[in-house]
Amino acid sequence: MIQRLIAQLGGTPALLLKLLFLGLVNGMTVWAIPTMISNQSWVMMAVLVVATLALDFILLTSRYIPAKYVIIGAIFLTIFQLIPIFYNVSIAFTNYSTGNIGTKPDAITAIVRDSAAESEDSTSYDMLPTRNATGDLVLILTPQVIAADTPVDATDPMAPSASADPGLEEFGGEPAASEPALEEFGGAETTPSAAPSGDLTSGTNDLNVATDAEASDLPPTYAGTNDGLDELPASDVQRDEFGTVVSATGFVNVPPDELSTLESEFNDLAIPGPQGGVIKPQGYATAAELVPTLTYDAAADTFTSLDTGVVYSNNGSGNFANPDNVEDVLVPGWREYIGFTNFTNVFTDSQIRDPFIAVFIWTFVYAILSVFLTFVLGLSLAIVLNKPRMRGQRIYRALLVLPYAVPAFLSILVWAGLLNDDFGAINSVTGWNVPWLFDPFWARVSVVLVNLWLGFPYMFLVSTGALQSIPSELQEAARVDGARSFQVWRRVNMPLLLVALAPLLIASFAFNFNNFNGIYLLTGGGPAMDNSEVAGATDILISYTYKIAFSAGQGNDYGLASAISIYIFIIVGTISAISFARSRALREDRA
Amino acid sequence: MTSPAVPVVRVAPIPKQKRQTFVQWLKSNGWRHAIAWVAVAFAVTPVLWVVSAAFTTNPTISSGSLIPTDPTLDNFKRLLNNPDQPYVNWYVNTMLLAIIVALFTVLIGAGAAYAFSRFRFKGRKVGLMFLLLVQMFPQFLALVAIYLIMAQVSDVFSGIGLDSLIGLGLVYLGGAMGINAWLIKGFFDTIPMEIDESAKVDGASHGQIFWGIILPLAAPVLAVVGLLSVIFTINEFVIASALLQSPQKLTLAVGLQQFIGEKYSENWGPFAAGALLAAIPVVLLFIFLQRFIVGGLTQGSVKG
Repeated sequence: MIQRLIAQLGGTPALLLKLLFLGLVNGMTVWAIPTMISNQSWVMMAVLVVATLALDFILLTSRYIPAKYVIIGAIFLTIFQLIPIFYNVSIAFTNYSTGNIGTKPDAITAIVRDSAAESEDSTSYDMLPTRNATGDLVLILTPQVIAADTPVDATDPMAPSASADPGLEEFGGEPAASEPALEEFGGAETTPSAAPSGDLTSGTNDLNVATDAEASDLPPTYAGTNDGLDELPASDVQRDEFGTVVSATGFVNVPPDELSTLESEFNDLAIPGPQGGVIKPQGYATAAELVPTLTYDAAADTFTSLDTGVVYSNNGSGNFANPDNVEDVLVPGWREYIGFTNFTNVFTDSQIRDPFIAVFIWTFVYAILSVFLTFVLGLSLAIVLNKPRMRGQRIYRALLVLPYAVPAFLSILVWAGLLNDDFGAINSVTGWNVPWLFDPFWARVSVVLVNLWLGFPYMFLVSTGALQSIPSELQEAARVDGARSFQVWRRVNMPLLLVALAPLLIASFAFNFNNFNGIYLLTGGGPAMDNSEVAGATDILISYTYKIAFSAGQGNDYGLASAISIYIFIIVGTISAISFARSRALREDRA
Repeated sequence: MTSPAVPVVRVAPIPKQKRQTFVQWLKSNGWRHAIAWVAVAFAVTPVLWVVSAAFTTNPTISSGSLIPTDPTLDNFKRLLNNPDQPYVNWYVNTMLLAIIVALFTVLIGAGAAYAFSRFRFKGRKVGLMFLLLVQMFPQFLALVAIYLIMAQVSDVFSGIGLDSLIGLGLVYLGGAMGINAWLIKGFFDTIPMEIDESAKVDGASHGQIFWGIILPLAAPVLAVVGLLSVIFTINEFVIASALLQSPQKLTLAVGLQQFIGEKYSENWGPFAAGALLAAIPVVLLFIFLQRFIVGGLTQGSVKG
């Protein structure tokens, strides 16, 4: 019935399906090309176009019949496995990390912009956020008459965001992106914007001045947008009794309760000011013209600080740095190829090396212990239950396999609850008071114990299978020759078992070497090591790598993470190569 | 990255026994039962504990007992009615993703296996070796690169990049061909070529042989590959947690981890209910397909 249906499908309908599929793929590619060109995603475009053409060619012609069956899998393999591997290798040779994400021109622009600070003679403005007829944010700005050196961000909730760089927030809120440009400089003498130099009464002074000014001529009021300042006719501006602008004709005030949602729109605003700087909001009611404190010299490829006169030069590894103090670098930096630095730092930089070595050793201990204990327990149970005259074998087997059938991530999360030392079932039922997950030693015991629970059913199953496949003639022959049961085990059964199970044990080792869930979902790699901000006592290489790349708080170091993942590949690859070389599969195909 | 495979388990017939004394019984089989009981207790207790917690109102992890004294469905209600943790979305996301990825994984693997098993072409040996080699680099080791690639894809196809279940599924399919092609090829190799040839004589095309003859005959190994793929997808945490962001788009692994993390005492009851609901279909699938696992892996396995 099904066969007949398929035989019928073999004709026109199959062809139509194929054409429909190819039409969709080609259509999507063509549709995406303009976007990819405007994004300058050249590699992606090349991959997509080549893949589409290959698909068309192979599915529409009959020249390569086997390729028809491989092509779709091969495309997925290429895009989501091969290209990531090569990309990963190329990242490993860069300094790609928090603070070194963009290109060099982007970094220069960002440094100049972030260095902007109020200078002695820059103007402050009273600010009224409004929206124009089209809903765009427009700041109604009135210069404060005294050139204010008002403290900008001492108490102001909005001030830090004024220096945040939206272009760098690709990975969501990195801490460094919102830090001031001169990271290593301590506030006061070098960054006036952060210096609490103004007197506490300056705000009141401004108000008085404005009131006085009302009598004489009022300062002009401007509508500020990214296009610049646009002076408003005095008749369009409404003021209160103190002379403060309260509204402007043609603009709708932003309601006070919506002010806190304006942060990203404020960040996007950079109103060109009359003194050559940019006017940025400083809080919700004032704005100030900020002038860069660092200037870039393209010919020399250096930055000069206008405040201190320090010249920052390109340090060759993606940052402008003070030659007299290598720690004094300007952020952000940019992505730069740094050769084998990431690979060698693992051995030479003690801040990376010490935790790495601890993690490296524990990874081996964990993987070997896991394989050994699960195998011993699984094999023992298989031997105990491998008795022909025994009731209830079926039910025992079914129940023993249960941990293998339950999704591992669930079991691990459950175990994390049971082992919790405050209210976990194990401590409260037994009356022990063991810090299962928070003491380095006991946390290690816990991850091994849980992995034993997860892994022994598999070893039990494969050992049972292997035991039952040992020909009984061999054992009988050994007995006839006078061997005792222990000798039969030692000389006949064990060698045969190990030959059959060795590839599985190696595969199990490789699996546990990278058993991310078994560690991360139980302890998160913790408890933290004394000598590392990232690594914990139970971290294995793969969870350590993940935390280097993705964990929030310490910053993300993609370059280092990629380099370590290549080390992992070399280790696991070597082990797998040994196992594959011994594997039956290869020999079968050679025959 | 596939889960380890299960080999055949043959249960020997139990011959009729003569009556024994208790000591005799203890010596021959009794101690075996004792050990088996201890092992079963080790294997089953955590599972029972969760089942019990799921039906107990406001259980603390410690106060739970193995048999709930006053079973209720409160935890299930709390689990399903809290909009902050869209459990139903996670559940549907995970199961749909697992099934669809498994389906495509089986087709991709079977297609490649068919080409390598039934055709002789230039580069066949190299291709097979290459598949083994690529498989040695687990996909999640290139997580950083995958993340950055998907970020770029987002800019062009917003629906299949970051924070997209389709995108996540596509990434998983990148690992579909390698070891699965080998596993299925091993089985295909045991199907006699004569069957293909007689079909060819009757005028069948290569497509008709693949869909109409080889695939139905290989059902056991396809079931195994599909099951392993389902289990892999349900358990996968690393890539999913890096790519998915919106609460309603998470998978069970990522969602439940966030739900329970740091708040064990508070959320233990609803979590237990959620874990139970998530485990049931997988355990059932495992039980139903166990005979396929046994049959499939003994005939075509690369895993002994």
